[in-house]
Amino acid sequence: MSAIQISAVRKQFGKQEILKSIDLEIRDKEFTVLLGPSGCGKSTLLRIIAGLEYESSGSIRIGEREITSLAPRDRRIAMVFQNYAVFPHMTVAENIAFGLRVRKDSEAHIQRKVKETAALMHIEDRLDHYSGQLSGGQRQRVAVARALAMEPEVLLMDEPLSNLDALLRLEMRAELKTILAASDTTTIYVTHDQVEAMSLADRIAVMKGGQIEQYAPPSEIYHYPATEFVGSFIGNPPMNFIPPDARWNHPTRPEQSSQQVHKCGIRPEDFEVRFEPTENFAPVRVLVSELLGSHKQLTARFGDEMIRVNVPSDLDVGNGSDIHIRPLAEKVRFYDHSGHLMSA
Amino acid sequence: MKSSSSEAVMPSSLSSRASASSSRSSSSSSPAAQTAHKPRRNDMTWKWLFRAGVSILVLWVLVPIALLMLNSVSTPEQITGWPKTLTPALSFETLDFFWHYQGVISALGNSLLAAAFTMVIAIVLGAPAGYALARFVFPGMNAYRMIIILSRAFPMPLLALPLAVIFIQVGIDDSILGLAMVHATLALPFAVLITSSLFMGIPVELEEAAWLMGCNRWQAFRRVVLPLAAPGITASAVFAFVISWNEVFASAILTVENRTLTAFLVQSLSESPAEIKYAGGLILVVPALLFLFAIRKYLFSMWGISNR
Amino acid sequence: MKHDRWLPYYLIAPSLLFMGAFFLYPFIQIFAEAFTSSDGDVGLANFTRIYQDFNFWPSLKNTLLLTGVVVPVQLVLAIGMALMVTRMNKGRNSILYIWTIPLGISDLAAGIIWLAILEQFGFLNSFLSAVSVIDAPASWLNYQNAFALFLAVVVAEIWRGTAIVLVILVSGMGLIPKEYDEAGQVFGANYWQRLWKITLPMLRPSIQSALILRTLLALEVFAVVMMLGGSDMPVLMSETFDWQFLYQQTGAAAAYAVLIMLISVVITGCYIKFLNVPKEAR
Repeated sequence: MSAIQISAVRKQFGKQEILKSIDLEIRDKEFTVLLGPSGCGKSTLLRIIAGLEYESSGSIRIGEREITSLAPRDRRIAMVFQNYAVFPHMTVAENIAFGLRVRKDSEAHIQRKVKETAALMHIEDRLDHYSGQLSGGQRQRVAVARALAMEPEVLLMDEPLSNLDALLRLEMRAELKTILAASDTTTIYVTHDQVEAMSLADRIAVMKGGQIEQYAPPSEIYHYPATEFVGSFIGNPPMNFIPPDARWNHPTRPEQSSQQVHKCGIRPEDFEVRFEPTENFAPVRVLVSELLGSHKQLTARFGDEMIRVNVPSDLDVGNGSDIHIRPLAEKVRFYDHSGHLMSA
Repeated sequence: MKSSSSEAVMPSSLSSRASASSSRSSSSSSPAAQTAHKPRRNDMTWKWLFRAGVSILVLWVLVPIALLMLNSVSTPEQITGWPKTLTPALSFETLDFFWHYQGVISALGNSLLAAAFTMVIAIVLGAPAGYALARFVFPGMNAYRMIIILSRAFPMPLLALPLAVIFIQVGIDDSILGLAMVHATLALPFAVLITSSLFMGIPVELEEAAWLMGCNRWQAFRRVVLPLAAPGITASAVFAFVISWNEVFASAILTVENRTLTAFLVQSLSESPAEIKYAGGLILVVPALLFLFAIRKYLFSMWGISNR
Repeated sequence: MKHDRWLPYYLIAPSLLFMGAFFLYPFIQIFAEAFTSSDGDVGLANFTRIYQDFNFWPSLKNTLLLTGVVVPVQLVLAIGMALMVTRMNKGRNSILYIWTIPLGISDLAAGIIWLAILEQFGFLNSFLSAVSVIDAPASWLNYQNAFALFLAVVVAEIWRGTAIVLVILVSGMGLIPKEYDEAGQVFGANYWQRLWKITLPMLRPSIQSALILRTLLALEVFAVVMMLGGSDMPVLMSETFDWQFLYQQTGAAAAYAVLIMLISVVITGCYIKFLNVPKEAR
């Protein structure tokens, strides 16, 4: 059982609080993504779990074991680094075998694992090459194979795809998803790319400023963002945030809440659009209309805010068009002054 | 510091003149034909001047050394004879004489020994310090670094003076080991700075990956860092060797019976025949040149690092 | 990774102790020796002694004069060579290796090399006689022709010591982004203007480093002078050597050592003051 329990982990560096009391419970075999902008602390958290950096306070358990005081080598964790960290003076086979040799596994076992993981990552024909002879993508495969060969309890991945070009990233993402699903290892994956997160994760922990804003499956993150930040970080273009509008019958105070509604969150694709003035529809002038292939993205001014509305690509809307919009009632999310989601 | 900077300076200045001439040539026909030629001739003269200058400077360095070599393959008569020719007798008489001159072989042996000791001491003490500076941040590291850098600024050989007295008291006067320790003091700052830079060039992620795969700190160092740093460490070891091999002042002060080659040459200056000087000079120069040639890839960055 | 917080200190301890024993301690000892007379009193007895020695002023004069001539010449030469190097593509590494060969040559060997060239029956005279410039061998190294001897030492020192200045300058040049020179070109500056107003000023920290190092080494000149001039051209370092080794007067030798260090510090201070580039302007 390799469920991970992170309790009250804090990290302070000088006067800066890099991590503010993180609590996270990751289930066995779960694929968790730590998602957030640069500086949010996701990589720091990952490295603390790995044992490469130490926490100021808090504890970490994997399964029944308390690993907080253990050296990296004793944690039974494998890691794939952003820059791969493939040993340049060893062949691919020696790289993959490295951890097993240190462990003094039997030669037969080592040979088997090397072949197995190399085949899994499609680099079996490169086993005697050195990293200098490999492309970036191939080096990344070596890094993953090396980690998987260790059969770790937990697999950590620190932005493994960010150094690949766009097309390769797409391919590798799909490949990783298949391989890691099959390997059944508890995985923690760090990225700043929300598309990657949405595609790979069982659950996403969205982080900002050293804190976890929301930890939930991708669909919940997308449809019920817990904070304004999560709503604006996930989805491209981000969620629109506008003050509650009476024309749309927005309650100023949802039923179970004692707080005032500060902002409403509406995703660009969740609007109804009419050309003629209609009751309960708000008129807006389209400032920019961009045909993005599968849909049209309209940018319009709504009061003090700029909002974006996605419409079908064949809708006859151009720059300067006047349209009337209304959000789908069940898709509107309400946020209070502190930016938190209010139950509607 | 690679060819990118040289490419930028030369072709761009040439192209600026080329574009100037082409813009002129596009305006009218006959004046253009004249102006189009002028810049080209100017370029050519500069180019040849440049080449001449470089060649002169290369010869300026190499010829004196060649002349020394000439002397060492001449007969003793040719050495003291007049006038000198560029065609030596190609005899080994001088070198043979040198080889059999009293005290030479032991002096050579002492120089080798001292240089070897220096090399070992400098690396054994310097590489760990270099690693510490490269990998850790700790209070006092800047002060330590300052001490290392500043020690270059002092006339190190002068330190041989009090050490001569101390060595006598301790009982290691006139010993190769004692001399090696003085030389190591000379070489240590280089060793620390060079290995520090070396280790900084090896990404710490490689060690981190090794730690996660079951290594403790020393194992990771041995299996991952050392193989990658080995060429550089060897180069700085050779460097330390050459520093000791070449050193004159301290050797002359601290060794009497167990003289090194440099001490030997200095102390026997007035008494020894000319052949000794020249053959000795050759023996001093050639190994150093060979060693430095072997590590020339690292030479430049090492000089650069240690002198910045 | 968590490490014993004393680990870095364990790693630097051996080198620190070693430097303490073989650098710091003798360093203090030199001062102690210099200011202690042979009777054991603390005072300037040693300094008076060397001051009254007939070789004192000559050695001081020779050393300072030598330094004053050699260092500027080497600076200009090295700047020229460094500029040439930046313009090379193909043969760059070979040329650089050749030009830095003198660095790997012991100053004693350099002295011997130039002895072979400049001595009475040496190569220079042979060459000059072969092209009929002179009839009989001229004495370049004769003490009676002090000027020629001085010149000879200057030439040998320039040969030997330009490389170290070159190396520092080339490293420094590598640190100057080429965009600055390109900007200068775009703004219409010609080669000399760019050199004088852009490249050289940006090279100032390296020039400062190089000058300090080369000057200190010049003050320590010893073996070259010994080989070429012997006792005809005393310098501070050779006097130090003689007092220590020949006359066995460690106090006096220490006094010379202190003198050399003093001059070094003063000159370094001047360099730092007049050549300093404030951190903001770097």
